[in-house]
Amino acid sequence: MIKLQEVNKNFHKQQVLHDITFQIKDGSIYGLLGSNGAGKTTLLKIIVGILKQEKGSVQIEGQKVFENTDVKKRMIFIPDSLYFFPHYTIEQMANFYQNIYPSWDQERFVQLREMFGLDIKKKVSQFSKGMRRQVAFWLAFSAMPDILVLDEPFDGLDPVVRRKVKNLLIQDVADREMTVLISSHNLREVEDICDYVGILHKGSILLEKDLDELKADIHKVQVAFRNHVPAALKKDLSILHEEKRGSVRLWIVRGAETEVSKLIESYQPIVYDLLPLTLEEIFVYEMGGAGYNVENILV
Amino acid sequence: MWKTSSFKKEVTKQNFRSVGWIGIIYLIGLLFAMPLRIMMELSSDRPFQFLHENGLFQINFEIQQVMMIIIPVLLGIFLFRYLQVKETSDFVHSLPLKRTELYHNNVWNGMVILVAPIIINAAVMTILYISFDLSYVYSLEDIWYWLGGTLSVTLLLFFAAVFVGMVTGLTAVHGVLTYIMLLFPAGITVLLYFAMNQFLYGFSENYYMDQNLHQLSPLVDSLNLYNASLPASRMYVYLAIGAAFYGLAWKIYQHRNMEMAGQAIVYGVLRPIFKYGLTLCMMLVGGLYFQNHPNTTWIVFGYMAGAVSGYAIAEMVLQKTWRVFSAWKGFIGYAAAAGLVFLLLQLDITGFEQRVPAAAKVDRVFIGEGSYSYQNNHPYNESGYLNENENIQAVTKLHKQIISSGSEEYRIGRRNLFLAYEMKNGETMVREYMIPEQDYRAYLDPIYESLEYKALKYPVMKVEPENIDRIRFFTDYASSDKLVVAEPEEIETLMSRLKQDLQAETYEDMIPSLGDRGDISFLLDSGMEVHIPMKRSYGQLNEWLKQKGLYEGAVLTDEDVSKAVIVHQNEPGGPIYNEFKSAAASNEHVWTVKDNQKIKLLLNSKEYQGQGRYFVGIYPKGGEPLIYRISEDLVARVVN
Repeated sequence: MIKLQEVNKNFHKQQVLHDITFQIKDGSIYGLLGSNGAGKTTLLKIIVGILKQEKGSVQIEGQKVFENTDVKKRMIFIPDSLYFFPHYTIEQMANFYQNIYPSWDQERFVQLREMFGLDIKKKVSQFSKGMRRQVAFWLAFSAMPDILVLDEPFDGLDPVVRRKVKNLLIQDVADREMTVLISSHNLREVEDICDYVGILHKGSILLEKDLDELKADIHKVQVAFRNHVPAALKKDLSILHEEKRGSVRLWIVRGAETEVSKLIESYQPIVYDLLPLTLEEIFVYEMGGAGYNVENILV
Repeated sequence: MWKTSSFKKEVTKQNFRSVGWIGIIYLIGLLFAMPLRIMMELSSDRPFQFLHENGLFQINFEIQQVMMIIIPVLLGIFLFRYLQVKETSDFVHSLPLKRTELYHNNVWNGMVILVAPIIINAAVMTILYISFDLSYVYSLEDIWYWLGGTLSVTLLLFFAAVFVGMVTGLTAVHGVLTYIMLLFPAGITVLLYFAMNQFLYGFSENYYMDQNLHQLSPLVDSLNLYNASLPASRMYVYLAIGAAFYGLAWKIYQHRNMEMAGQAIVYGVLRPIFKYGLTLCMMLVGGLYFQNHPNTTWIVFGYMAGAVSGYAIAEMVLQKTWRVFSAWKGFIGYAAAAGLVFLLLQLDITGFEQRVPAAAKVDRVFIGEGSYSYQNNHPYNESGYLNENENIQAVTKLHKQIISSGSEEYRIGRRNLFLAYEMKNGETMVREYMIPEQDYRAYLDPIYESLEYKALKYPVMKVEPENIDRIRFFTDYASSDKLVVAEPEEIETLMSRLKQDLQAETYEDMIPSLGDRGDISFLLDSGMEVHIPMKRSYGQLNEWLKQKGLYEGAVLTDEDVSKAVIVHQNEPGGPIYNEFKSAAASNEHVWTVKDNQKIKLLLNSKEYQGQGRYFVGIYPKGGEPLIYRISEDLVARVVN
């Protein structure tokens, strides 16, 4: 369990993070979303113990992270801009990780070699940007961390590798309850693997949701009635958004699927469809109600 | 303390991979500079080129010194470069390593890289010493001194670099700031002395400047290793300061905010110190630049320009842009504070300029031309302490007159006057002035003509004739073998006449004439030798010498001179002899004087050294010319 409480951080007297409070359950994948400059990277660096917050606390399993090697041993951070020691080969980097992380699994390292297919005798600096990112994942997965923190992790990966990495992530989460925190400015990139998402905007958490709940809770409905739309129905439904297309109404409705269907069908519509919503649409409607223009927050 | 087990093998490996080359270069440099040099000398037939009593630093000192100053700082910069680059800093600090572990790992790795070459080199020097029996070249103590000196200086510089590395977030600033810090105490002291000298009339900058200023900077002080004059105690001090840097850097690393990588100064509290420190230094440098300008406006301009540029540079470094025009608020505060300090100095609130001690409170007073003879006082100095009440009063009177006349514009004929009062309560008061001597004759004459002062100026006055073995007259133009007085009776007569002459000597006559070029040497029975200048103005003595037939040899007369050549100075600079020769060869503005009366006039003239645009060369028969600089006035009297 990663627990943040009222975390504040300033750079040069300017507030970057303001009262950040949230939790990440063990064995879950948490997506931290936000536009550029929202404070995502700073927040991640505080969570992994690189930076120190001015106020508030960051705890993992009840222990603070900053300068705590016991916690940091079980955690790996893959930053946005990767770093490898100059002139180090993959093998030398692996030796380094093996020496630093007690949970290093050499067997897994060898096993993953086939999957990534990179030459371990080659210097990391000679690889392309995307390959270097693969090396970072390879080393991270071999270290068998309990917590993996990823900052914009899929930039520069081709779709095939991206799929492979996502599968590895999901597999580790499923097999050994690894906890993953992923930051991204792109909702679509993470919606297929995240259990939870939080939106960071101008240094504050704007909202936080369980994705399964969210998806179950909001629906797009197409409906048409013989005569006019029953006023009682509109009153009973929690309609977030309405569009007219001829006689067909398009509603975004909040509520459990079965209840919504039951209620609408009781008015005998001539057309009735319940359509799936993309995560992005959900956010657009959810947050549009809160007075935010989502396009500005999520690119 | 840390546990040995916390040393991570791979971190150490990484350190050696990235900075090990510095140690290798240092080792190769040392081996080439020292043992290989010795071997080279051994294999040649020439005698050794350096003396063993001066120690091992004499062998290729320049190479040793350059490496000693560059290597440790370079090592500190590279070892802690990971702090200055965001990607590296993020990576390293995300690892499960405490900052303490990282710090000690790096520092101890660095120490091994730095110390190993030094120890290996010392070992090689020892092996050479034993296998070739080099005891005539150097001793084992020399190796110890070399080891101690090199280790203490390099370790101090290394830890200074480590400390600065913790304070800054930019590698370039890291290097520059390390050397600035190492020079700062000495530099700011010099600059402050210069400024005080400008603002406080009577402040003796030379006196304070001579007081072991080099000790304030290890960079300057390490030059003393060359002649082994850096004491072992200083080495311990350096090691102690190094240890303090080590501890301090360790502590502040714990509080470093890693997001500050890339900033010139990482800690907020240090930013104003850096900013205003640089402004102050640059302001003083600006004032120094116009130091000798007679116009105060220029000096004030120098200070202001210096302050503005210092402040601007500091802001540029801190903000990392040259467009810092909006940051003027802090400067207004600084300017107000600096203006106030200058005003207080100018108003002389401490009464520094006006202070003259009451004669009754003075134990003794030193009067001389400069601080050098005061600080390096030896018994037969030309100037010395005056104890007599009358003289102390005369000095305070002179001092008061100087103060009431005030500082004067630059003009020819000024001389330096250095005063040091030693009070009865143990305090010392030091002043230095430039005075136009002729204006102060009424005040100077009583002092210089006092018997007490003469006894200081001419120590021979205190010598009893029976203690003198021999008296000889030395000149550049005559053989001295014949000019000897050794009979006790003759010595007694000579001494009594000389003492009469000296006692009666006026201040005017204390200055030798152009023709006075010899010395009288008194060989005492204690084996000591005392000299006084031989002058044509010693009436009693010269009378007697004439009777004895020694005068002709001891004094240069017009009879001894074949000619005098007067030339106009062409290009200033260079030794006076060369200047004269080149001007004499030019055939322009060259006058040759052969008239005896005029030569006599020249020989009897008194001229202050270093003034005027003319030279005279007086050619003794069959000898090299005596060359002086003379005034236009004298030239006019001789050439017409």
